[in-house]
Amino acid sequence: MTDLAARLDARFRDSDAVQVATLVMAALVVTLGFAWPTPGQGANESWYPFAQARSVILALLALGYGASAAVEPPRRAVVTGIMVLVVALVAIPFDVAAYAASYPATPLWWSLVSIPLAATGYLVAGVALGRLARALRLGVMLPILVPATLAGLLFADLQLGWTVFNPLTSALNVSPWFLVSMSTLSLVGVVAAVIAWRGSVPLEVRP
Amino acid sequence: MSGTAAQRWRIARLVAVIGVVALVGAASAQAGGASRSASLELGFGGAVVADAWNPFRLVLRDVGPVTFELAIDRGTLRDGERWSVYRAELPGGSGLSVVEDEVFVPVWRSLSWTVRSGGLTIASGSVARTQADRRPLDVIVGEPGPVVRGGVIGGRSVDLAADRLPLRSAAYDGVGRVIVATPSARPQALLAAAVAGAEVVLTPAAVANAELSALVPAGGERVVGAGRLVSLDAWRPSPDTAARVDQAALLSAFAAAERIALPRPAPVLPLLVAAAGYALAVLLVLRFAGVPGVTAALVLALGASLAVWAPLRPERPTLDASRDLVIGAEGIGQRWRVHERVTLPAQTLVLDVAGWPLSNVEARLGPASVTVDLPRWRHLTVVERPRTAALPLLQQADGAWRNQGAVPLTVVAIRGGEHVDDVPADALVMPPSRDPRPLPSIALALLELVPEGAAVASDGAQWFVALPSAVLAEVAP
Repeated sequence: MTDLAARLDARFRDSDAVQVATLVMAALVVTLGFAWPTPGQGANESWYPFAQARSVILALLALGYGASAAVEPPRRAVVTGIMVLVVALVAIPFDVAAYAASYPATPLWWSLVSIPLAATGYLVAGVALGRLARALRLGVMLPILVPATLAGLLFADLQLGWTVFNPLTSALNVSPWFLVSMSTLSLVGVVAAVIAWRGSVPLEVRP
Repeated sequence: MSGTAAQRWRIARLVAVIGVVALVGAASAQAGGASRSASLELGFGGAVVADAWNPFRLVLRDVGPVTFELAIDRGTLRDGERWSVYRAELPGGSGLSVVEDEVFVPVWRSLSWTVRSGGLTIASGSVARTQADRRPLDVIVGEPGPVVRGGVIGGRSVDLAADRLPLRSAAYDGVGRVIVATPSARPQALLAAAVAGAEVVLTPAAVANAELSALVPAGGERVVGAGRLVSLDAWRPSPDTAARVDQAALLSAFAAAERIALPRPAPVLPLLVAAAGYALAVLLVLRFAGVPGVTAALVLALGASLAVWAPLRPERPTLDASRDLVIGAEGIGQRWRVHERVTLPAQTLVLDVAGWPLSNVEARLGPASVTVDLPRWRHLTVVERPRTAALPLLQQADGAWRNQGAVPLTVVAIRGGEHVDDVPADALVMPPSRDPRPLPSIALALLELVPEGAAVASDGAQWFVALPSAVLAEVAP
């Protein structure tokens, strides 16, 4: 546990973590500002564009970090996953603000559940993508493969008319298939993380 | 062939022919019975007035429970089909069952009806689009003679038996005149017609009935509700019904004034400042506070979520308001109840009233229900079927207005005169002793549409348009 705390502390001090968290927060604040209605407008529709933007941003973030975590030491990869999850969770108040004012028919629990679930689900998908890319010696293509994979999943869902991986449609409506797919990926990720954590070496205690 | 055999052959042929004739007769009788097991009369004698409440009379003969459905498409070429379906489950039963009700009929592109029983359609019909006519109807009861008939030429008229006059005022929404030339008409029906705004003309044949003659003074007229009762001697035929106040225009103005305001969005600048402050705080604790910082950031996220919920969340998902407008004179009028709903989330809205949505939306209607699927943040205004109601404001013989009700009136405004605040119950409307409060927008909207000398008043819960007797008499040429 001490090792986890130490690694987490170190991970959040990494420059990439701070930069990414700042970027995500800034993107969400700007999205909220653009989506928010002016006083003259009748309906408050801010939650719809905000939820979709939030969903895509976090999916991209999770997929990208997952792909990069595939080559990291196991314990660092686990801590990176926790970092992504924390960034996703601290974005919830923006979502709640837009939801409260918009009064959509979609239940709030779906918004609250789908955010962390999608983050962990796409993270695991990203790890799988990273390992596959490296196995195929396409690791250098990862910066392109990550958004391409997200676009491909989105396109496949749209073509097939369902919502299993699509972050755009899953953000707005309750989708049991999305819940199943992301829960399964998250469960696989948690089990893999526990196994990886136990099977790896703790931080060296320096004198 | 022997003679006996030929005779047998002829008898057999005769029996066969009789059998065939009997079968055909039985089949046709059955078919005829099926077509006669249900019949519908929409409007007065089949004449429908568009954009008005119309009576219908459904007659069922020896059929079990039936489903009556009236489907109206009031769409446009631009918007496509917009169906409103009136559906009623009726018990039927052995013998004759008669169901009478009123239904609002807009200007239609398609209007058809069916009566179904046990999965089978036992009767159906339609009304051609070319018959969608907004002009008020003149109902002639009895035979008033060529002179009187000539007086209503130019309008739409229909002959009707006296016992077919409905007793509910809503049925006369689209009626301009009722000309009564028979003593057998029911006075309640004539009063209902007058309250609804129709001009009821009683010929000498009608006033032979003491009950009917008591309705109007000899050779005179009597203002009742939004219409009037007049004897033939005092009646001046006109090509149209100029004496009516335009209730549809009053209702539209009433429904449009002081609508429910949508919740105002919070100003964006303070929201962005708060959001940026939260983001900065979270980033700082994550960066500098280590693991306790992660816990602090999550606690901060929870606190911020709870803090923004209450101020930004509208109180209720559906905002509703209902208000009444009573239009009439002489202490009685036609009450129009307007229900306004605003839904924030998309939802199916069910109102337990017999009514009609003012906006062009698809609706499922019943004898006492209106169901509409509404998108997000949308207004819906439903006008309930009109009914007779008391009118507290009465114009006296000297022209002064009196609040004869048991409730004080908060405002009384006279078209062409002044307006007064706070008129006590059972008291005269006196000239104001001080500067009155500004008139509410509803009063201003109604005053634009009422005739000169008419009064617009409110008791806080209802609005009243009281028509002066003199004005109605003057308008009629």
